[in-house]
Order: sequence, then C-alpha cells, then structure tokens
Amino acid sequence: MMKRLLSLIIIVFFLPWFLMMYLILIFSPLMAVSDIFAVINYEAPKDNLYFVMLFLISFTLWLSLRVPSFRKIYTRYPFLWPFSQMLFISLVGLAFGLFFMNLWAEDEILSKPFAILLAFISFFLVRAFMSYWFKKYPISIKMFK
Amino acid sequence: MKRQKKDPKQMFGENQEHAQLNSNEEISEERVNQEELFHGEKKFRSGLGILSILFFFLMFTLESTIPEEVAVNEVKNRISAEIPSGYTLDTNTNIQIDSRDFEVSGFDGDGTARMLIWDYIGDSNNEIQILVDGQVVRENHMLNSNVAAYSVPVPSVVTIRGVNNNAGTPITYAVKFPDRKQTLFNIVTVNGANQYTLIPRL
Repeated sequence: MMKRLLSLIIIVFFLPWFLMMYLILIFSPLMAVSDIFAVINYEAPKDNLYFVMLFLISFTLWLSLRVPSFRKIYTRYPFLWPFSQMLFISLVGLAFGLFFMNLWAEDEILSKPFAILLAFISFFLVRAFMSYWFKKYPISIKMFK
Repeated sequence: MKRQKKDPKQMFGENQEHAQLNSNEEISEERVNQEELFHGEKKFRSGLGILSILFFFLMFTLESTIPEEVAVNEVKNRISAEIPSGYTLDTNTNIQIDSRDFEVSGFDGDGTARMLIWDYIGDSNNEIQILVDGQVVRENHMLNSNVAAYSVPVPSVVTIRGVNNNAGTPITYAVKFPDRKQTLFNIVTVNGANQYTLIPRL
C-alpha cells in the first residue's frame, strides 16, 4: 500500500516533467532544421541549445524506462516509444549539424561548403543508424504478439 | 512466482488490445517489469544513459557561458577574442566606453569578409546606417540581440552611423569579424559615425 502510494506521488511529479520534455522533443527537430537553414541563408550563427535539450531529453527518457511505474506510460500508449526514438535520433544528428554550421558561422574554422557537407553527413549517419536499429529491432510491441 | 496482488486490468487500463495479456493470469507485475516491452529496449535504454552523461559534458564544453564580470571587462577592453556573437550583457550593467574607430588587419585575401553585428546590451531597437567606402549598403538597420551578417569587401572602410535612438542610452553595438575571431565593442551617437578600416594580410 505504501509502495503504491509512493509510486503514485512520483508519477504525479514526473508526468508534467515528462510531458514538457515530450513537447520539446516533438518541436526541437523542426526548430533545429529551421536554425540550420537560417545559418545557411543569413550567414549569422545561431545559439545552439540543442545539447542542453538532448541531455534533458535523454535523461528523462532513460528515467521513464528505468523506473517501473513510469514505464506504464508506454504500455498505455505504445506508439510513444518508437516515436520518441525516431525524434531523439534525428535530433542528435541535427544538433551536431548546427554545431558544424556554427563552427563556420561563428569562427570560420571550417569553410561554408565543408560545414554544410558535415551537417549533411551527421544527419545522414544518424538516419542510417536508425535504419539499422529498426532493422535489427523492428518496431513491434512484444506484448501484443 | 509471487501471487498476484493486483488486477492487471487496473494496471493496463481497459484497453481492448491488452485483452490477451489480461487473460493470462500468470503474469504478475514483477514479470511485466522485467520483460522488455519493445525489441532492444534494454540496449536502447543503456544507450540513453550513456548519451545523457555524454551530452551533460558536451553541454558545458560546447556552450561556454561567460560570467558577467568577465564579459564586462572584455567589453571595457573593446577588443575580445572570447565573447561569441549574440552575447548580451544584463541591461542594468552600466559601462562607460567612448566612441572609437578601429583598424582590423590580417584578413585573408579572398576579397570579402563577413561582418556580424548586434546590440550587446539587448533589444534596444536603435537604428543605424551601414556604409562601405561611402556607399550605403543598409539604410536602416535595427539593432537587437539577434545577430545580423553583412558581407563587406576587403580592403574597405566600413562606416556605422547612428540614425535613431529609441532607448535613451547611447547606441551600443558589437561587431564581429569571424575571419579574425575578433569582437569589437563600440558606441555611436545619433548622426555620429564609427569607422572600421579593413586591411588584408600582406
């Protein structure tokens, strides 16, 4: 009884945090893409906050899988997990993409075409990783089998 | 296996899709917790754990945050190699600097350079005019904390003229030449002008 009450209290605190992180997770890849194109078009660097977001998101997702009572959200809404995997993996590539673009825009460490190439490669690599991952571990929920 | 303490229906809700699971009365909560809900869940989970530690360190190494006191000193020095573009001070920090002309040398010889310009005090919406060798390249540029980029020829003389002062304080702005990794802090009065002489490397 005490244990259930405790897990209920944890969920009440975790759920708003989780929802907020999920909203960030949904919108940040779009923001990152528009930031990368803004750097290419306007040649001015953009603040790269995506590594902060990635830390918060990866930690929250890890926590949501690690703590049994948080995991129930994936049994209730099974689409959440593959969806968050896709968004998270894409965001990793885009964050590095913007990082390479800023290396050019802020300090001219790289040339512009090379920075665009690296940004493209980093996005391509994470997409290739995603293909490999979902080939090895297909999106299906074992419990429905 | 432990005896079931709890109706699995409560745990998973009344969802039709879970009917198969719910019918299996052997499954206890502990067993469900140990099983992977998705293929490769545990691997991805440990991946997330490692990545969160990695991003924690990347966050501090890649996003250098400069303390206010250090930044104030850099602004007073007028020329900084530390401060990234778009950096803004707190609006209530009052720094007295004079209007000055700069000479920036050592540009690579491909004929153009990028000039980044923003207001280092924040969103003042002061307006300036940008001229290159006496020719107007931008009639009215509104200064704020968003960084704007201009492509300017090298060698040339870039003139920044104050046009409109909306904030009451002198028009504050910072100019960065990414080629030279230099940020220059300056002020300009309405109808006053600052000149930046750009000299290529010999």
